[in-house]
Parts: sequence; C-alpha cells; structure tokens
Amino acid sequence: MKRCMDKKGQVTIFVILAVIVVAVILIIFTFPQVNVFSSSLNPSSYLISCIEPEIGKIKETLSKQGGYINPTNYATYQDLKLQYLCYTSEFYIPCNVQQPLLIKHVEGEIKKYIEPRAKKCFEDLKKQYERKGYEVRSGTTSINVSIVPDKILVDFTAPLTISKEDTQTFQKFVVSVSSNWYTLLNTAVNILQYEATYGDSETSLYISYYPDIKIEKTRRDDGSTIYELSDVITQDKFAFATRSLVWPQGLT
Amino acid sequence: MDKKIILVFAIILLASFTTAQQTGTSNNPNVGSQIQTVCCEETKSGAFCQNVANTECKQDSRQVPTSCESTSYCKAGTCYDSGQGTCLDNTPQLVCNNNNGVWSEENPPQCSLGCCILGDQAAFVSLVRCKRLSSYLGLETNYDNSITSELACIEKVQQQEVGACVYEFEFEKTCKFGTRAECNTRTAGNATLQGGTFYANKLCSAEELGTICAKTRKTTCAEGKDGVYYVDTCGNRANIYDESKYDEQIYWNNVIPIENSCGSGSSNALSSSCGNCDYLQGSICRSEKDAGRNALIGDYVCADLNCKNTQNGNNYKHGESWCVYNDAGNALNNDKKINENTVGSRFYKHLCINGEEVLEQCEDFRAEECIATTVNEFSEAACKVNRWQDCLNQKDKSSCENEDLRDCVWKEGFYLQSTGATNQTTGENPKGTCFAENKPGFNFWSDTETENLCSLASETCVVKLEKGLFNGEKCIGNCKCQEDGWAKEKVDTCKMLGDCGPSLNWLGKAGYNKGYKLIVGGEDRTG
Repeated sequence: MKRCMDKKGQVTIFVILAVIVVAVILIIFTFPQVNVFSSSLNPSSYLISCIEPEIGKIKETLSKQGGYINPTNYATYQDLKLQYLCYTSEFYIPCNVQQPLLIKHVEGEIKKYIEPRAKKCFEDLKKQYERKGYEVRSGTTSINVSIVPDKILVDFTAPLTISKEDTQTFQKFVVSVSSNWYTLLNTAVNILQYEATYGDSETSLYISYYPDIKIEKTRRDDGSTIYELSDVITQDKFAFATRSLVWPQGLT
Repeated sequence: MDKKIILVFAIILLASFTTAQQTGTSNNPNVGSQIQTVCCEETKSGAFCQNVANTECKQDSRQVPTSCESTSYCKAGTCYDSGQGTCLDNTPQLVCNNNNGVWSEENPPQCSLGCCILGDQAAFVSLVRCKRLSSYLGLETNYDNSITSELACIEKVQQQEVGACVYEFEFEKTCKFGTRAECNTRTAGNATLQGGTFYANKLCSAEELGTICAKTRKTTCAEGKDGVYYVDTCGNRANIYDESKYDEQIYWNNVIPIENSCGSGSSNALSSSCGNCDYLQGSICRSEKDAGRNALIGDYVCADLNCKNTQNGNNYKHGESWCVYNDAGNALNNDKKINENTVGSRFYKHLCINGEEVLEQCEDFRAEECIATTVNEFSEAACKVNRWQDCLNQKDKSSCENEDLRDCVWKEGFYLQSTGATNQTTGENPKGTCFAENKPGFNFWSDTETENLCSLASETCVVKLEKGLFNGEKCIGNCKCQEDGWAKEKVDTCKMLGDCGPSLNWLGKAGYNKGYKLIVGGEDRTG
C-alpha cells in the first residue's frame, strides 16, 4: 500500500516537472527578448535583439523596391514595384536622375521605419525594469542610421538611468548589421551616372572592379530596364529600375 | 486600227500579321499627337521634371508650356552630394534641391577627380569622397589631384613598397603588414599611434624581426587581391598559400612576388595546394564552401569563375560576353549566320559572371543589334543602336553602306516604286535600293504606322497590250509584270522593309495572313 502511494507521489512530481519544462520552453519561444537565464536585464542586448530583426525586415523591403518603402514612379516586375531612379517619358533622350542622393535617401527610409519601432522597444525595456522594481529615468530618444562599408549602423540615443541598489546610466545603443549595401548602393549610383549621361550602362565594366558583385540587367518592352545587383558572398541584394534612351518601334 | 488594252497589275503588300488597327499610340502617348506638351514638375505617376502632356501633370504641380531645359526649376545640371562626395549629371535642379544636394549648371570643382590612396588600394574619386573613404578605413587622407586617369592611379598604388611595420604595443613588440605610408600612421583601437619601424619586403613572421607574430596554418582572402594568402598569428597576410612551402621558414620571412609564386601564369582554379589565383584568367579566392573544393591547408581555395558548355556549346572566361540571336532564320539556313530577321526575333548579349551564364536583352523590335569582337582570345559584346531609319533615302551604294552613319545594305536589282526616282532621260528604274542590314520590327498589331511603312513596297504596273487585227493580243509595254517571278520579286522587296509581307515568327511559324494582295484588272488574284 505504502509502495503504491510512493509511486503516485513520483508520478505527481514528474507531471509537475514536465509542466514547468513546457512552460519555460513556451516563454522562451513566445518572448525571445526575455532573458530567462539572466537575473539582470541587459539594456544593450535587449534593444539590439529588439531592433535588429526590424532592420532585416526593412532591408528586405527596400532591396526589392529601389530603396523606397512606398515607390511612387515605379516599374512593375515579377509582382514587385521597382522605383525608377532615373527616368524619362520621352524617346531618344537619356533619363533625368530622380534620386541623386541614394545612400542618404535609403538611410532616411530605414530611419523612418526603425524609429517608431525602436522607441517601442525602449518603452518595453523601461516597463520591464519598472516591473522588476527599478526606478527608471529616461530622456529624449533619437536615431541615426548610416550605411558604411560592410555594415548598416543604427545609433540609438536613448538616455536611461536605472536605480535599485546601485545606479546604472546608459546614453547610446549601437546596432550594427553586416551588409554590403554600401558597395551595392554606390554601384547603383555609378550605373545611374552612365544611364543619365549615355542612356545605357555597360555592366561588364563592373566585373573588373568588383569581383564579388553580380549585375543582372533586364530590358522590358516598355523601355524600362531592371537592374538587380547582388553580392555573391554576402547574398545582399538591391534592385531598381531606369527608363533611358528608349527607341520606339517604327519611325515615330 | 490598233486597240490598246491597259491592264493594271497592282500588288498591295501589307504586314503579314496585321489584324487589329487602333488609333492609339505607342509607349509615349504624346509622341505624334497634338496634345500640348508642358514641362511638368511632377507627373501623376510621380516622375519629376518630365516633358509630358498637360493632362499627365499632377494637380498643383508647376507646369510651363516649354521644354524642361528652358525652365529654371527643371533645368538639368550636376548634383553634388556633399556627404558622400559624389556627383551625378543630368539631374534637374528641383530634384537635387529637394534631396538636399548642391546643384550647379556646370560641373563644380568639388566633382573633379584625383587619385585616393587607401593603404595598398586606390580609388579615382573626388577629394571629399577620398576623405570619407579614408575615415571609414581609419587611414590618413592621401590624395593626389595631379593624377588625371584611373590607370595612372592604379599604377601609382602598385608601385608602393610593402613590408613589415614593427612597433611596441602594450609592452610587446608586435607588427603590422602594409605600406610605408600606413606604417607612419597606425591605428590601435581608437588611438592613432606614430612611428613604427618599416622593413621593406619583409613579412611580420620573419624571425629576424623578433616580433610576436608567427606562422599559422590559417589562410585568408585579402581585400583587393586575387589570391589565397597565409596568415600569421597577428592576423597579417603573409605570402601566397603554397602547401609545399609551409615548412620553409624563408617563405615566412620575405615577400615573394606573385609572379614567383606557385602556379604563376595559370588560374590555379580549384587547386587544393596552390592559392595563386588570377582574376583575369577566371579564378579568385573564395571559401571552400563557395568554391566547392577543399584546401590542404586553411579554408580558402581559388574558385573557378569561368563558364563551361554555355548555351552555344562554347566555354567562356569570367567577364567575357558574346552575342546570341534567337532568329528562326538562323536555324532554317543551317546556322549559316544568315539573319532572316524573323518577326519577334531579338539580339541578346550573354555574359559569363562567376561561372554563371547571364543574358542581357538588346532593345526589342531590333532597335538594337549585338556586336562582338575578340581581342587576345577575350570576347566582348555590346548592344548598339540599329541605325536603319534613313536607309531608304540613300540613292547609291557608297552612301548606303557608310558604316559611320548608318547600318544599311545595298541590294542590287531591287526597286521601290514609291521611293526610287526613275531616270528622266532613259526612263530606267534605279539599279538598286538601300535597305536596313537588320530589318526593324514593327508594332504591326496595334499601330497604323506599320501599314504606312510597308505600303512603300506597294507597286502598280500598267501593262500595255496590243490587240491583233485577226487574232489575240500582244504585250508591248511592262510585259515583265505578267511573268510569274514579278510578284515574288515584289514580295521579297516588301519583306526587306521590316516586319512586312509574308513572314515567319522567331519560332519559325508562318503568319495567319498572306501579307500581300495581287490585284489584276481590279480582280484579287492573291490565291
């Protein structure tokens, strides 16, 4: 009788343990930003893990739409809207550049997308500290995005002071994402220069200078040209459209 | 009394596929129309500074009934990006200013290019861009505006001496491999240090230097270099990876030139023991995973970038390009390269990039043709404009085949009644006609222009017959028009104008219609 009771007790303990394990696994997968293995929350790693996936998302969108979140004057290609970065509606003439400061523009688009999300991440972080009994003081946040060789840098200025037994102060959080967009965007600017000056670009030229960059050029029947730039090593991509020096069919 | 009978032979040639006729226009709705064209600040589709119909212009957007070049706000000029130090031509003033660029009508002095030395690399850029690139790489700006060509800039950097830069850091004698200029200004973390000792043509792993850097079994790909390099314990690149030289200490002491390294003169693609890659021969340093081959030492090998067995069955080197023409006529003529210029056929430029065959279309409707040349066994192709437009205006062979001005060919024995002037004295027709070398394609299914162009080959031939007193009638004028070959000759002439007359499409299929009409005495005898 006693052995039977012992067995029942063991089963109960195993069931409770199983429930705890399942609950922990669920928490890990539902709230990946919550560090369950650490007693103290690290603001820097929390913000990085919160902002970084958002950079990936916006990068994916911009790479397929010529660097625009909402393309306005665009060519439709394989269900994508590719912004015309150089465009003419006429025949026989080279295009007019439509976006001369491409890198700056793309930095602005990333900022536009990331800023509200980064602020939300910051507010969530503050709430988590407050829930843990910390006194939290914060200042005005601002964000700066820069595309530099081999990476995209997001400088998130968010003054934060947390106090409990001791006081910790944070000023700036830097999120760095590996990317070769700097080279791809500069190559795109170079192609625009050719398109605006000569009406076309010679992709073979770039092969000599940039061994890792692949340029695919597709001409459409409406006179537009689709450029797909990619880095064969990092797999980064950037696609855009132009319409330049279009020849009509017939004599008109 | 002679009775003359006049028979009229008329051949009316139409585009073989012409079915629908619309009053619409081609891509640009303004071309050839009477709608007022304005310089529009922003069109409804979001394009800036376009010469479009006033109906295309966005509401509240500025519009002036003149060319954009004549306006102040849309005049094209150079836009200077002071942040990146780059310049873009043909940028409308408004577009540049809206994006916080600096616009000027002429190329500003900031856009002039010079040689920017970036360690053992070089860039032919503006001064501001050089400063920006140098700051990214943590180098002092080294800019020479007396160098006026990119080639001279590359030569200058190649002449730079490289070697070991030995210095003390955190009480240790360490070393950095680079140029003499880099040695004079070194960075360690965020700090800039001065005064290393430079040993030309020495490697950091050289025992005689007595530094903490030693040889390793690691290899790497170096920025701006083709080959696979050994790496020392300090992370500096050493000589070209050569498995057989790993144990030779001398190979770790002095810089060995590429031309004296293993497998010099060949690509060494996929070699597991030699990393002397040659980009011009189609190999470059890549990871084992990307290259699909393992190295005996380290994780990098020379990847093969060349293309094998391409669409036309040939092998091409990385960077080579060649022409492909998808003309059904080629196949019909047993690949004798006789271009039939079948309907819908198009020229393509194929390229070999990183072992992959990539294609680029030349302009459709054969508005562009592909030309290729081979220099030192390296094939290069390009799409060029097909200048066929004024062929029919040329009246002699020499002006017709003037390659500087047009892409036409003189055809002896062909004559277009509509364009050829008959000799007033002799009454003879011209001996030949000038046609496009590659016949243009027409948008025959939706525009009216095709009919006008193809009707240039229409011909009316008046045959004079003399009725005999007792029997039959005798032909006395234009008798050749009665012969069987006449209609065929005229159809062939028609086909030379472009997508006119009976034709095949690029897949080799014939059109639905005859493509011409033969009317004799008012009766349709096309058959």
